Amino acid sequence: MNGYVTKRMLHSLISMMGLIILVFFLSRLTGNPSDLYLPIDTPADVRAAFSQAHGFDDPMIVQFGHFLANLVHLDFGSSMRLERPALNLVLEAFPVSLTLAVLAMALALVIAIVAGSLAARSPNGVLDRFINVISLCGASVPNFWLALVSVLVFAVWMRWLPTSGMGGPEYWVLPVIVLAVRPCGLLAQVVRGSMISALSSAYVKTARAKGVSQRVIVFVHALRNAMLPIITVAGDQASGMINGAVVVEVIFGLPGIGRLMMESIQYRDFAVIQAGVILTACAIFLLNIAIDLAYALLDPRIKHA
Amino acid sequence: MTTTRALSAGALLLLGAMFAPAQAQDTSRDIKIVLPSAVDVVEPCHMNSTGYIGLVLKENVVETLLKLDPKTSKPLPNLATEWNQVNPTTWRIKLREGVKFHDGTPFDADAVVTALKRQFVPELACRDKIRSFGSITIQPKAIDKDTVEIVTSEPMPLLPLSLAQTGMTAPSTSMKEAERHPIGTGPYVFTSWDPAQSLVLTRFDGYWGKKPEVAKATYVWRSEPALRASMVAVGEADIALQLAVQDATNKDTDIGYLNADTSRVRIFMDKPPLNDKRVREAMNLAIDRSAFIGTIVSPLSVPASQYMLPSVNGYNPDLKPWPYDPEKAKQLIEEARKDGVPVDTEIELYGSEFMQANLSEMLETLVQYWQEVGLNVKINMVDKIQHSAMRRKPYPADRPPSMVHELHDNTAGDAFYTMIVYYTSDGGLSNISNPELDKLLKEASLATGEKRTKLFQEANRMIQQDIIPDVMLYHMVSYIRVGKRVHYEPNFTTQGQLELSAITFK
Repeated sequence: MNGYVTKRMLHSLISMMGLIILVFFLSRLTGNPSDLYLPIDTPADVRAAFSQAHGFDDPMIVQFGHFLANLVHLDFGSSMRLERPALNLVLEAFPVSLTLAVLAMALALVIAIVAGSLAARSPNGVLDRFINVISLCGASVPNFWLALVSVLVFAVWMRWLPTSGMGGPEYWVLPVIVLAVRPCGLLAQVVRGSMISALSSAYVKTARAKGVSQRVIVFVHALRNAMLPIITVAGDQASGMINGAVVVEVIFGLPGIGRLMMESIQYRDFAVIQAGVILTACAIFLLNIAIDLAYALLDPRIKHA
Repeated sequence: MTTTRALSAGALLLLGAMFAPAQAQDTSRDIKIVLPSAVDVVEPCHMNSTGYIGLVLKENVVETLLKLDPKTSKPLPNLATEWNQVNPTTWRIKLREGVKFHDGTPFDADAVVTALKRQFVPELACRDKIRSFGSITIQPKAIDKDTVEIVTSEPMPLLPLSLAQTGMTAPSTSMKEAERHPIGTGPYVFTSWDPAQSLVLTRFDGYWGKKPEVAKATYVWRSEPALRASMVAVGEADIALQLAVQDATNKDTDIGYLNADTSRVRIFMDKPPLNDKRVREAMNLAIDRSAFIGTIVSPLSVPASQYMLPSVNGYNPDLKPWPYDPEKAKQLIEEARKDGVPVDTEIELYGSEFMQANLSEMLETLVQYWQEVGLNVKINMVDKIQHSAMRRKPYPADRPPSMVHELHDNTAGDAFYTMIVYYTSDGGLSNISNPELDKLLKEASLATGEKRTKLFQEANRMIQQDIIPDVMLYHMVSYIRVGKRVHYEPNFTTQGQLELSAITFK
């Protein structure tokens, strides 16, 4: 197992180096950020001094060399916009996105597994068709629209929940539900397909012949075997959420990594962009390891040498 | 079974607590204001130039020596009670007595000298200094405890207006790095700031002026305009700024007002066909400005004739927006064509969505009007960096015949702050090189009183009638939602300065 993790780390390190190089150079090709920080009528000498102070007047390769030298000491530099260490900003934002992702994913998984399994019990039945339509709607609805409509209904009309912001558990309800809807719809479809396949397999027929109850067949025997594709899709969805649920964070005013990255990209705040990309890449790497371990746990035939 | 019941009861209680009606704003004297974007920097020497710093700090935490009257744009006493020009480069300022900073330090001549010198510290790169003083440097000196003398490197008749933009920070304010906890003399103390979520100001009991009604103001930020409107509708906030026109639907709470922005298309007159005055005149005559009002721009928008609001000193009230006369426009284009002007040449029109709402629709309609009179204009939407690079010198040498849509706000109250930058040969954002206009604007800049006003008015006439360097569009409108608990009247400075002392409870 240790050998496997080491191998995966080495692979990820190579990918991350490629990612760092891409992000560093591509973000700098979009123009000189002095136009975003200084008044439009700033004299040329002041503009030049700004560029010099932030090292933008150095050749790109020299800037990259400085960045790598600092990276060795985990120094990502300071945010031009917020005038604070970039790593601190990212570390402060990360728990918000992580909480949002964990809650939304847990909700999506529970609902999708129950709904998909129930739908698979009687393919093309009334319940199956109903769940199919609802899950397709869920998988297709745009987050932006759903977020605004949910605020209108539950915060403005019914006054059950706050519109936005951070606070007690009630502040998390709408963002988590809105974020969970799409993966929930998608996962319910995957669960349904995977379960239909599992429920028609020989071992299920044997279990039925032995008189095992329907509930045990569905949720114990079939579900465990149907979990591999579900985990694959859920992992992919979770990666996207860890990357920052930009729309949900922006609309609901949650200070997560998605909102921070979006604002940093708008302001060409290179240090924060780089710190954010590296941290989320690390998180996604860990998530992938966890998914691989889950595969091995669910299916003992899979061995990680 | 007992355990199951207890768990069920607990779950019901939890759900009940979660779905109880969201807490509405209480009846205290605390208010919440929701802004369109984060207050991510609070350095007072950027407060007139960057984001929402000024809206939060100006005249709330950090006060200025003088203050502009929003109706007349004339300077009024504030922390200074008297000011006079001793000679063209020397001003003497008499300070208000009995004023203290929030940290207890007395506000005196030494404090003013320190605050003024801070604006010029290179490490701070104060953006307000760039805007208010340009290349001029100053030497402030304490004459006595309550009198300051300011010597400027060049004659500066507008120093009082610049001082109305310059925050007086406490002597303890950092001279090396951006301030994160500004201390001023204003009616509110900077209490807490979480750049990710909120900023809080509380009333300063030792304030020299009238005690304001608001005890505590919490600023939060939400980028979605519909959400800001909803927050006031449900009582989570008392004031929401920058509503979208489609969200400003409640006549009881939503107020539209002319902000300081004027919108125009600047014509770069260096290449044909745009170097022909007839073509530029035709571009103005081809547009029915009334057709945009209430559709693409707010019904309260006003067609503009000059690049400044009517309240700005130097605005010429005799100038009217160009009329809609497509027949004359076609005739001018035909005349130019006959004289060999390549009127069919493709003209690039640059715009950027961040500038104003519905900009794409506005530019597409303009292009349609120009096509109808025989011109060939293509829209090129770019991002903010590319847009800024198009607007300022040095201009790209290889650009085709070009125009750029832009907004400009003159909240400083005098035409100087528009004219020098946008209309002189040396102006960093100018598309004009006209020695006659340069001479007139130089004379106007040094003049005072009625003569100054007349000279700037003449310059505005010359620009609109003789040179025609632009297609002037509208004085723009913003919408604000004010909740039922409070009363507040916005004005053209509201986008950059929202005085909490002007908010009262109903």
